Amino acid sequence: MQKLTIALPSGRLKEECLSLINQGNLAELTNSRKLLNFYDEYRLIEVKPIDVPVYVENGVADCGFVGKDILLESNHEVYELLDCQIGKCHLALAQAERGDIESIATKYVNIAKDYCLGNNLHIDIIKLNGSVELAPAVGLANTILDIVSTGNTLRANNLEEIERIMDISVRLIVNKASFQIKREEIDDLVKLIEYKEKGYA
Amino acid sequence: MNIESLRYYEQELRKINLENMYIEESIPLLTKVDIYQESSIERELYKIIHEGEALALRADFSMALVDKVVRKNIEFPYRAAYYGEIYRLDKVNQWQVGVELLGESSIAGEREMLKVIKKYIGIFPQEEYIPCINYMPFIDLIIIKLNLTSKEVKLFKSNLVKHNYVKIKEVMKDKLSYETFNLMWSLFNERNINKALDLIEQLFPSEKFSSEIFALLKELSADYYFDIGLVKNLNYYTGLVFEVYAKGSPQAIITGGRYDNLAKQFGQNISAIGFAVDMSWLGGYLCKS
Repeated sequence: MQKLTIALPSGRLKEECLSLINQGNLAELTNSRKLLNFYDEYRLIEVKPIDVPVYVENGVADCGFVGKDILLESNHEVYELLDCQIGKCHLALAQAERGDIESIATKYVNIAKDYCLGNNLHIDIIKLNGSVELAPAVGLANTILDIVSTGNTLRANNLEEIERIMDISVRLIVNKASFQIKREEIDDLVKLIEYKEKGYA
Repeated sequence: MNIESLRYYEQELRKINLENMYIEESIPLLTKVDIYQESSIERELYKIIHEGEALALRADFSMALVDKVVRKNIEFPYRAAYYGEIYRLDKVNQWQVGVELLGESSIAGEREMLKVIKKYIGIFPQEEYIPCINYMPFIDLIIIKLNLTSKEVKLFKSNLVKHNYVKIKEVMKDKLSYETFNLMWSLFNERNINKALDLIEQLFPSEKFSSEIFALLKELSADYYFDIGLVKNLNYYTGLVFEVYAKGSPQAIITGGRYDNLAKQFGQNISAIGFAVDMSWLGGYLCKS
């Protein structure tokens, strides 16, 4: 058996992703500040969520856990094998006052472009890297497109969801070459995650 | 990158081409945009307008080569070889060496290509190589069985290219009976050629498959892995498609297959089969070693 290198997203999803491949005590790994860890048959590297597909596409990691939002936005050449059923949320449009969409502020420019194309909207799309909810309040854009989990952040900023665009969850992505070269190990990982998903362990 | 070593390998591959009677064609760096119009790479072109004519940096050797050859008065079968770089937006430039066999519609074309691939691999560094294979008509049959609309077909093929098993499974579950779904899903997970062919025959019992292709696939079962998801991003492939992966390379090092529909877009009916090796992996490999 060959060791799989797995790219884990740092931040809030790390623990949930670790629990999918966990066969023992997680606490040490979850709290570890080391970015490279060896764990059972895996070599784990911790990277920014947005960089997970980059590491996987370039073969530095055989596979990785990444949100569907990042996959759709970045369009990397990786295989998407499994919906891990964790990190569930959705992408939505929100406004302070319901009305026509005049401009969209978002981190997800490509998804916003696809939305506009599909709905025949010819409007400005403004790229932001964070605090997207601020845009309507300061007059940067009258609409935002962002991830919604509980809706608390929207409510706290007096925004209302006007359209649900798509459901998002964490996906297992795999490097094209690793899919062929380490197939047995990858199949085992898929089975392990499916097993966990069904709540058997 | 060790350019000298890369040039050495390039020379060796070109020697193999010559020994196998493949004539080197010079493909211009600037090509007409029109030749890529029917393909999925149209959006990846570096375009320029020169004297009112839309041109693009060479983005695919096969298309440029077939476009050139169909305008010549030549005898078939015709063996052509090429080497150089291709350029696509947002992608690292690919340095390729490859061959095309035009006007050979019989299984002899497939056999010849697989022989040349073996010779190519023979000169590469001693690594672990994983050759994979698929037969595009199997995909057509799956699509017919799924009874998809033309929009769904496009989406299904794009999900196949990405091995988006989440979506593929969703569509199959929705469109097939429980038993057929299980059989088809087994096919997506089967790597052994013989076992995959058994599944194909169970899934499509009334289909008359080419006995020559089946015999060839069975012969290859000792060396090649089957991958029903091996579907090319370019929509001109029609028959056998193959890729070779190497340990240490993040992408396939050899890709190719039969593409009998390509010449049709240039107004000719010429069968074609070919492959290219992506030299950039070799550069990365030599750097590491």
